[in-house]
Amino acid sequence: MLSVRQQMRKGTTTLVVLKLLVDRGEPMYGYQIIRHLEERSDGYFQFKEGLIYPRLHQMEREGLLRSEWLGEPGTRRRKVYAVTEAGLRRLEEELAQWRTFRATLNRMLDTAPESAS
Amino acid sequence: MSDIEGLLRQIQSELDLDRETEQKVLAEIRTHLEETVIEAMSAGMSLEEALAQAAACFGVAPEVGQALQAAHAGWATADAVVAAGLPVLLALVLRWLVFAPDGTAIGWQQVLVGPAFWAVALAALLVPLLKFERWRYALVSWGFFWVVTVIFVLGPALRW
Repeated sequence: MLSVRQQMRKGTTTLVVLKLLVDRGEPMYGYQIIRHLEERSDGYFQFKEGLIYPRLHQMEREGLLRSEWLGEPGTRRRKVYAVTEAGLRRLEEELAQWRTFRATLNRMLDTAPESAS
Repeated sequence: MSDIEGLLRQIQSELDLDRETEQKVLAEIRTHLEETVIEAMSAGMSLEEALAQAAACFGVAPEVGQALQAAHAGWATADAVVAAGLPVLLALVLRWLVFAPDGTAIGWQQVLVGPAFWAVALAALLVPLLKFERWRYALVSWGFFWVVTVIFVLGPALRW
């Protein structure tokens, strides 16, 4: 059974990857993305690193990311990812949904328990 | 870095992709693992420790392989459908532009100076330039279906 942290991470990976790439404003490769996400979350989001690649490939397939290989053949080549127009639209949608979700959840959790009558 | 090769073999055993895609996927993972090891070694770890940490942080290799396979499943089919379907569609449009329904081509010289014919012809020539995930396979499919289409769709109408 997944912990709350694992569920939250799983459900928000697309959002945080898109946001990171947009904020950085430059294409990034998988290793960089993982390190920056860990750094941004102060280590709270610790990914099983290998599982970021299926997600990146899935996002590319959905048209949210585009990729290209950098580096000369024979050297260490890196596949870098950048956000597409569709990715920007998805980011806006998901951010809006997340803000609504967060505000609603905060209201629900911050509500004082009803006193027993 | 024998442990990296071992991880890559475990991932590869879960993949059932075309050779080109598989190689690209494994190259990306290899780069990631090598960078992880280099970073760990630069932080003072021995090679063995760095390899062990890279493997631990990476996750369960077969699980990653299965997820990669799932992420790529279906791409090839979509490419093949587009590569095969576009030449057929474009050939049918060209046939409609040039030939009468009974297969005669009276006045075909006038069609050749019209923009519609050249627009379709240009689109047909540019199809291979579309970015297919498996572009070599798509290009071969594109060429094959063009030949088949010309033989079976345009060929019977070439009675003039």
